Amino acid sequence: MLVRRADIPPDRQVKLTIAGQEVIAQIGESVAAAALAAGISSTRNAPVGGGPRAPYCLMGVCFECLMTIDGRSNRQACMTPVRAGMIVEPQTARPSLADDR
Amino acid sequence: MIDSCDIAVIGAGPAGMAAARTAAGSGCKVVLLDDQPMPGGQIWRNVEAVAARGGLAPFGTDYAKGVAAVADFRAAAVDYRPEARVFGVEAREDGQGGDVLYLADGAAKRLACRRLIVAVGAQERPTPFAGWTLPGVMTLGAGQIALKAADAVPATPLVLAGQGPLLLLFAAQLTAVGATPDLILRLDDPACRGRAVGHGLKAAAFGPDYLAKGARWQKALADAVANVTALSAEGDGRLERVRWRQADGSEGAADAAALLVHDGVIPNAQLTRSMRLAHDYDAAAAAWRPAANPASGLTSGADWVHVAGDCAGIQGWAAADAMGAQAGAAAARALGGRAGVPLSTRFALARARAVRPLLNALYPPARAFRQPADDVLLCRCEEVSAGEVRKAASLGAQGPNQLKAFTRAGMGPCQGRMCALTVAATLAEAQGRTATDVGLMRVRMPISPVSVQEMAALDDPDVHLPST
Repeated sequence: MLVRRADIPPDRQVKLTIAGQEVIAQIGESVAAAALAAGISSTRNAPVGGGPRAPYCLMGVCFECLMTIDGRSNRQACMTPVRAGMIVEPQTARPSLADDR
Repeated sequence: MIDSCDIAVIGAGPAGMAAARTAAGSGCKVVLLDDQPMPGGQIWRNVEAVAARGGLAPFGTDYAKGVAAVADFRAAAVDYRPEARVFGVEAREDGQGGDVLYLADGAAKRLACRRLIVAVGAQERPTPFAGWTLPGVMTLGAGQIALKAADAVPATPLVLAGQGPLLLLFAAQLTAVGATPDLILRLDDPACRGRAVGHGLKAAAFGPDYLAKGARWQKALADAVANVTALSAEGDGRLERVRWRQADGSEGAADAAALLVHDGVIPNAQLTRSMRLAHDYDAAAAAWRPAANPASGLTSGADWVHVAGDCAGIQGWAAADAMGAQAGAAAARALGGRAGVPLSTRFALARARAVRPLLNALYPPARAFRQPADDVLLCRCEEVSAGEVRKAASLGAQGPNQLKAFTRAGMGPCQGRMCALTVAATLAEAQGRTATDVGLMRVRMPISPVSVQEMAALDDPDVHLPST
């Protein structure tokens, strides 16, 4: 989990929804960083054992930060810059075909 | 209409920016694809925005050098495409270059090029230990990215565990922003220092300023716990406690909300491996790298593909900048352009390379992760333990590819980025074989996730993507 060093200036703020929670993030940062800074400690459950997982490398290597972003599953949250109005959901259940349109 | 260029460059770190700038200067049409929103790579991540908010000072002089490097790159006649995620490269059947396949704006796209320069940098060496999948455990690089890109620091109590230059640098940067780590566990082996002396003299001759920088950073380790040989993370659903053991057998534990782990960096060879280029095992660096000409970066596997920077073998940003310029010039010359690099670039490369043997000797892969216990997960995605890999080894798995069929190790979304090296090392040890003999598991395109819908747009501009 991350702690912001300073308040985000109003002209740099982006509002999005992560795990049902309204989050204020900074322009240019990733969804994964925004989630960690909002105090969301786990962003998915491992599909095999079910244990909680969280962003691990923040640079696109580990694929631990897979989240459902604007209805699309398995997006790397650390490689996705925040955008106003985004809806981001954790992936807490085993994937099934029915989840994807 | 085919989207084409003379030279495609992948990656906007020091090597990619220098390559693109140099090649464009010779009049070649150059396109640079990078997966981040801003240029700079990981070393200069977000440097324009950090400079704009006046936040450069805590990061030190090397980071500040990124401001000029990025400005030079922006000023060059390069078609720069940020937020473009390359997922594969295809060679043309006529032998004239190839196509780079990438994802941008929600659609797969194809870029034809006559020469390709791969400058995709490094990743951190995987560090398997008990509890490394718990939320609250991250790589040290992740912590540094959070500070650069989000101006955020890890929660406290904060424990760093690792070895190598990045540990020293990030500890110093954290202190500079008033977030001094509560505890540092040193994973380096003191016995390596004696063996490194000879390399140290050579490094001192070529790069005295580099060594002086290292000596300054060492202050950050004044209160560290030294000679740590084992590490574990515990907690109910998230990190609560870190435990360790030192070489003399003494054990310790500390409460922790964040644990950042680091065991050096290795070339990001995912793309070059997916292209089936020849790769060599570099025993001194304990990692694989694409076989390539050290001056031009031209790979021995494909006569139109160059590699530059850390993805060609870890050398650091100064070497990457010089190698990028050399690869860019070589690629431009091969297409009939006039390009060269100043002598100073070659000197800079020689200086930067002189330091590497010292670092390799000081920081071989950490003891804490070298022989994981049977219950430690090697493959995080498919949750395959070291014991399962050893069992498959004893059943006669011939190599990492057959091991996939036995265990599924390496078959999850990260495609072996987090386990290929450690699965191979565990298999090699169990069967008494060498790293070269065992090799690595195969990597296949697409190397990053692409949906069927996105892929459908690849060669058909009439495919309209419905918004979701």
